[in-house]
Amino acid sequence: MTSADGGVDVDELTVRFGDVEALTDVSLSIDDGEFFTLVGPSGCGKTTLLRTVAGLEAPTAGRVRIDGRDATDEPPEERGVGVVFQNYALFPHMTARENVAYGLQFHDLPEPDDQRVTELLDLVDLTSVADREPDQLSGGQKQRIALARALAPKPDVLLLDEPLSALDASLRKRLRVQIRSIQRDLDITTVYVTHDQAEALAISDRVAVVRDGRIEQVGTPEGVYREPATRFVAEFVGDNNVFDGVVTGTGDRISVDGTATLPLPAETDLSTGASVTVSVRPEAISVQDRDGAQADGHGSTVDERGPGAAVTRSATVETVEYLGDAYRVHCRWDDRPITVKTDSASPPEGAVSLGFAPDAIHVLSNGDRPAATGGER
Amino acid sequence: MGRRDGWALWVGVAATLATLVVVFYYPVGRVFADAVAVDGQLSLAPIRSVLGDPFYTGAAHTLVTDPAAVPSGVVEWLAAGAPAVEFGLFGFTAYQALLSTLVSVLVGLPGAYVLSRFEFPGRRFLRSVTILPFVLPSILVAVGFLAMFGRTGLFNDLLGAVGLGPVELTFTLEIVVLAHAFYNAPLVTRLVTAAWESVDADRVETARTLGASPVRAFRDVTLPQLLPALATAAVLTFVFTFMSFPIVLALGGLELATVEVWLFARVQSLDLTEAATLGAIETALSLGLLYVYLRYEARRTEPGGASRGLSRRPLVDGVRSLVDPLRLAVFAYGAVVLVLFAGPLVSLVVESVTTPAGQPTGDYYAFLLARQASTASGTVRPFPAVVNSLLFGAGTLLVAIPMGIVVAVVATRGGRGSRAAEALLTAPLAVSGIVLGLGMLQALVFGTTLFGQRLTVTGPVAIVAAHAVAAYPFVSRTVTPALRSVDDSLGEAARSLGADRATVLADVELPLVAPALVAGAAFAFAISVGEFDSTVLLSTGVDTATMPVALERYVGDRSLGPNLGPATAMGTVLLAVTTVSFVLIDRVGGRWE
Amino acid sequence: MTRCDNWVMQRRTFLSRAGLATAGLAATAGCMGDSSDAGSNDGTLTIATYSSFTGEDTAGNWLKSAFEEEHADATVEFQTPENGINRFVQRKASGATVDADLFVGLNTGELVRVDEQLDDQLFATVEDSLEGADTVDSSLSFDPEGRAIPYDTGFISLVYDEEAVDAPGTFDALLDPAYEDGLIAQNAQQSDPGRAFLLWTIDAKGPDGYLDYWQGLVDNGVQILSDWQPAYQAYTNEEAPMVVSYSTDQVYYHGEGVDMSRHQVGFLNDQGYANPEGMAQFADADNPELAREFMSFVLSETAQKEIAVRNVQFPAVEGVEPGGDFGKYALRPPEAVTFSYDDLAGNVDGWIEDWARQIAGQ
Repeated sequence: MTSADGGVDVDELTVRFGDVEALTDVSLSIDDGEFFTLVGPSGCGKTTLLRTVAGLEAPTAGRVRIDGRDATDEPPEERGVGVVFQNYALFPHMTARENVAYGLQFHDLPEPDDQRVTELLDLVDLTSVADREPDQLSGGQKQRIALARALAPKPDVLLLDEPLSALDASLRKRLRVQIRSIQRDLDITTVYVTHDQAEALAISDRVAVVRDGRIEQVGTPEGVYREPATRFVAEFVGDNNVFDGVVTGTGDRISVDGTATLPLPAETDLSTGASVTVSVRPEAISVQDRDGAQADGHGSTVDERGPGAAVTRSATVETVEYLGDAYRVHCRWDDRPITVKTDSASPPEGAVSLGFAPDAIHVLSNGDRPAATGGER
Repeated sequence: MGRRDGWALWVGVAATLATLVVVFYYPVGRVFADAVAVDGQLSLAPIRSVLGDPFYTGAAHTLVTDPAAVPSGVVEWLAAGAPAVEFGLFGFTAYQALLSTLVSVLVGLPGAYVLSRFEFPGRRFLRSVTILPFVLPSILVAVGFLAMFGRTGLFNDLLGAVGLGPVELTFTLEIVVLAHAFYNAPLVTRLVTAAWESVDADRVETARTLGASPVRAFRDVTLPQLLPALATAAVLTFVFTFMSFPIVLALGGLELATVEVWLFARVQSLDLTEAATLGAIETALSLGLLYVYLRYEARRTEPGGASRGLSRRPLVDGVRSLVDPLRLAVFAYGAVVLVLFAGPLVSLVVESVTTPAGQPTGDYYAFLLARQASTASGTVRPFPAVVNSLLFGAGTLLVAIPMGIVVAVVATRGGRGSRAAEALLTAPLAVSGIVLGLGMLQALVFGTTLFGQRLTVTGPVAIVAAHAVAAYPFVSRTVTPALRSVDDSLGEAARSLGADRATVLADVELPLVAPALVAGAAFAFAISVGEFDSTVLLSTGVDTATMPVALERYVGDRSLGPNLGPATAMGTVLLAVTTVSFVLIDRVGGRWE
Repeated sequence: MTRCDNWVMQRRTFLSRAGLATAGLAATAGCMGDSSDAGSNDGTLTIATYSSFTGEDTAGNWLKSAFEEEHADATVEFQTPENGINRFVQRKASGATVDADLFVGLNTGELVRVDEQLDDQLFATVEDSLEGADTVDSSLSFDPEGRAIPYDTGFISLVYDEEAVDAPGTFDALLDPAYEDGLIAQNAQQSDPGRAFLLWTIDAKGPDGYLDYWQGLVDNGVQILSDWQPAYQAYTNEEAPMVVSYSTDQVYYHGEGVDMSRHQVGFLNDQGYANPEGMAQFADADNPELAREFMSFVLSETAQKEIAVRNVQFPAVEGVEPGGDFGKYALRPPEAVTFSYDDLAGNVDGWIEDWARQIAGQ
């Protein structure tokens, strides 16, 4: 799929630095006006991908299209992109206003430059500090000036490279809302790079999870969260419990480590004996004190009530994190760690009973398994 | 990096290379060809004959003449208790260069400390004129040093006044080393001051809050940030003093001869093969050192990003501050500077108004006026010489600064072989002036036959080009580390905003490295104003004479008797003109900082 | 080895009369030649020389004016290449044109070098056809092929401070403790007086003995500086009581109230080493006739006197007495010694190299 006008397309992009392959055969299509986030652990290649789109790195192979035209061989200054860097990269020898105005000299906008600068300073709400030099600005102010500077020449595409990572948590949350709302107002195609999956989910129209120079999964935040395609995505995006097992019985159960079983969702068509990896979100598991729980016998006995019905397993609470609106409970289910999130009024403790709805168990793609063994996080 | 550069940069690279090829690589290559060829055939014979001559290489000559005997020789030597070994002329030359480098650093480093960490009236002026010694012809330095440190010099008078001395310094290695420090300690001071002014205060303060004493914070945080500049200055000082020539024989005598003395003697007697061979070995050693250094520097310099400079404290802060040990040390250092730098310079000025018998006289300045009024052909007039020097200096700045910037930009791009390329581009520092002069004479003055035409390159344009080639390495050497420490993302931000590579350089990078650029410009100007050899070679008559040329003519002029009075008067004019120029360069450049 | 004739006073006085007459004739002949042959003699005469020969108050400038006055159509232009005669040897060797007519300021060692370096003739033989060449003191003639014609000479001697030391008198005396750290000389590799002084010691001690003698000098604290100027400057600053210099030293220092004690001229072994300066016409000269006329003019008595006074060197033409302060204060050595062309050919480079290696290898 390519977007004929607007947007960014990346076709079979490979970027190599010496012996290191930073990106391998990456293809992406970002729609006009879309807020698209590249998320992944550090070193995964997401920044390289953004820099290649910006023209700051040259691809070893593949093409980059911006707004429908092949931009692969264009230098950065001709691509019509605005970039906000992680460290803001404000010119230290220019005032905030001069920084914002800098790009305008290279572009012919219908309105006068002064007017445009004022507009942008208004947009980021920083008219009051316009004549300060960067070292007199706070981190958040620098960030917004950098955003205003990138937007001033009316780029086709806005590229943000971890723009909030140096800021404190509450400022980060406020600014990401502001960035998102500015992006919506301007309806500008935006590529956002972050290592913070929560930020990615919160802000984006779509998300691409990047790992080891490849795209692991592309989808809406909800899609990626709810239906991770691979073990890596399952573990990287949000908290998750992932189990490896083998399909047993009539294809409706899996045996984990040969000592425990979990039900399989009804619609899977895996045959008996197949290896399978499943994930269960902590918030999809209920937890009850063993005493208050409906006694259903031994924790490891197989539930006989059939697919579709909730099952319970015995576990022991090890540690509890208080999250304000909930508890994250780290339990041990036999020898396996398992994490549960509960909004109960008091933290569970001791022996507990965990409840699963069978449709909370998500089957991950098998192709991922060889690379994902070892529990890389 | 696959950054695409604007055409402007490539035009700059091409113009720089073209200039270098015409006035440097080709002429020098023509000379060096003699070192590796006999009768048109490639041969190692010339180099073997020099390296295998114990006079040149001392104990090391067996490495060439009888390599098989080296291990047993070393064993015998160890068995004999490892007595001192002589390494011939090359060994002594390296030894005196090492001593000179050490002393230059010892003298120059505190100067950088004072200039960058203290505030006092005249600080900027002092910083501007630090490199004044650079422009002085050696004959005048010899005059100043004899008047200051000679048997009957001012220094002994001062020592005598406090009941010390006298010290006999003339004709010793010590005075040669001091003269080398006079030339090169300012280089250390100037380069390190520029680096010190850009030390990030945050890091120093971090170290202090972690419990480091000021001394530890200096050692652990400041010093590592100064090291690249300090190492640059030390390497350059070593290379310069390794190739030192006139000052050695003018103050020390033939017993302290360096390789360059022999090189000059070979050129004089037209034994050009051995001259070329000596020059090639010198250059190989210097370039090797530069290359090793450049590799080290590239590894060391880390991007610093925008940083907050250290604040200066007042040198005098109430009466009590005068007895604080640190300030006492600074004042003691000031006394050393007065003796070592101001002493010879002031002595020189005093000589220009004193007869050999010690009587005050205005004759030497009257001589300058008479020369100015003269109509006799072949007379070098002082005022046109001043004007020529300034014009050539300005022309050199116009050519050397872009060249230096281009080379610095190429050097900071990185990539395979870029250190080797940078070393080659820095080669004008590593080639003996005598070799370059010989090459220019053969290739440019006598001309080169190209497409059946004999092309000669002389006159003012050639002089400016030659000065620029000698000067630009100072610009690139000061700018490269500074440029390397500019955060890449600043340039990338500018490019994404629509600026091409050249605009990024002009709008972002150069303003950020302005202090280094101004330091480089001052050096470049100093090199041009002080340059003598190629100016004389490429000049087409007395109309292109510069201040040093005038000075040299007045050295040989005995109309006021065989004394150097007229030369010292011209030298004083040279000092005055260059002082004003340096202050102007710093003021104009300072507006940009 | 050639000894210059003994220049005893009586003989000089006698010869000066004869020389004067000859020089006058030569000058007249030059004028006549000019007027009768004007067409071929106009144009520019390019003279290559050392820089201090030209400019205000110099012999070169006087010669230019006087010669141009006599030859209305001629213009004299000076070239002062920094590397002197080597410039032309290298030009010739590299196939570039020799762009001058005449070289002024050539000494014996340089002529030897010219011939060793070049197979072709750089200079033309002129002696037989040159008006006035026969008036030149034959003891100063240093070119057996008659190309270089001497026009003046200096005598290397010591200049000493009589309040600090007595005149040493002999070479051997310089090795005495009385003269410890007493002498400043110049590097024979690059300095004319330095080379002349070295050759003088070789003349005195022989090619086999001079290195030992110099070892003695070094052990007694001789200092060898780069060139005459720094050496004389060091002497002026009282770094040592003796310096190798010229016997004309007092010409610069005389008159009422001038302290002459530091300007005593010392001849060793009653000798001085003559360092004649010659002129030679380039074989490729564009204007050879004019060049030879100029050479004849240089040998005229008036010119010889002017050159002597302005260049502070002794005239080369026999019997010319510059008189005045020069005549009074320029001292001739009782005996003048110098090596001939043949003595130096094939030897001088080795002598200097061995010497320099011995000094620098200390």
